[in-house]
Amino acid sequence: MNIVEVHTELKKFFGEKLSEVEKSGQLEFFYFEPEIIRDLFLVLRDKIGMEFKYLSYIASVDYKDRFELVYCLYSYRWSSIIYLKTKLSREKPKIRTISDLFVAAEWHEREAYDLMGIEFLEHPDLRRIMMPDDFEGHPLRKDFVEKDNYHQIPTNRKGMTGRQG
Amino acid sequence: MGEEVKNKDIDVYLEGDSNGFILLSKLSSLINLPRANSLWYLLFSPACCGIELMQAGGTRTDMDRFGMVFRSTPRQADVMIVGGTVTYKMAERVKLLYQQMSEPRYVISMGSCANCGGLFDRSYSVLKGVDLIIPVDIYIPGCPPRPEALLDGMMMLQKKMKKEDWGKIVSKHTPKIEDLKR
Repeated sequence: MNIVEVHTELKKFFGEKLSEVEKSGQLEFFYFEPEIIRDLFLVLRDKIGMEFKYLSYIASVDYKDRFELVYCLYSYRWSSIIYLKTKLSREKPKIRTISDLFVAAEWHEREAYDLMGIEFLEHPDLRRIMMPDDFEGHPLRKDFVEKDNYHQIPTNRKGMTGRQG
Repeated sequence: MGEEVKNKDIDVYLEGDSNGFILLSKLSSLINLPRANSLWYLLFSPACCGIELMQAGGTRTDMDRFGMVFRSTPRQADVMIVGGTVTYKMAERVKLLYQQMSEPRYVISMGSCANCGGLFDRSYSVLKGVDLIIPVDIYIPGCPPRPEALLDGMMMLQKKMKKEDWGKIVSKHTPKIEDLKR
């Protein structure tokens, strides 16, 4: 079952909430509206004939005017892999969690929250996963500016002898 | 028959024969000799230079023959080898380990990451050189340095220790008489 077949099947359920299948390089994907995410992934996981039961990863991308989330799903039944994307606003990026459907999503969503600052509503434990708890800002955003000090530790070698960096 | 032995490193003057001999030296040189030859390093490494550190303790390089053995507690270690990338999260723990070591204590910065941040120079989470938090005695370049380079660094530290004035170190950490009277 490739992405075009999945897309035509899903169009019956969600209609205008899905974009057409686009191609970028080797990657075929389609966009979906953020508000249908739970229903969409429930259908993808549980509908007989779909059975995309394995969430490979969630990636977040900063395009300066918007954020995008990339969901990668795998089906053991069809041995096929599909990519779904969604667009979020730059100011207040919010989307519902899918960690109740895919347990793997919990840590991936925490990572996207930690590094990109995307808020996942109804997430059971939305904390930072890699950076220290008291870290300020989300370092993978394009407009992130590093502070001069972290806990009185300088973050650059200005004033040190030798190499300047 | 008199005999003179002059060692550049430790300033020893030996005179005598088979019936007995007189050894003349500075006290600090004599104390530094066993000190430099029992250099116990802390069993600790934040990242991948630790693999080379393990290798340096193995049979081929065999740091053990110079009296360099690892200790698994900072309270018994003389030297800390910071082998690898130190993140800000880890930096506070490294500092804590250093503070737990007893004086006199030494630090070897091993590899590019510990020297200046190295590969992760522009990173948001990596400390740009371990000398920003603790004083470093010897820097070893390399990514990672070979066990031979690490051994060379340790032997340079030995030379540095042999040149030290033991009296000054002791007096720095001994309570003054005025303090004892109180």
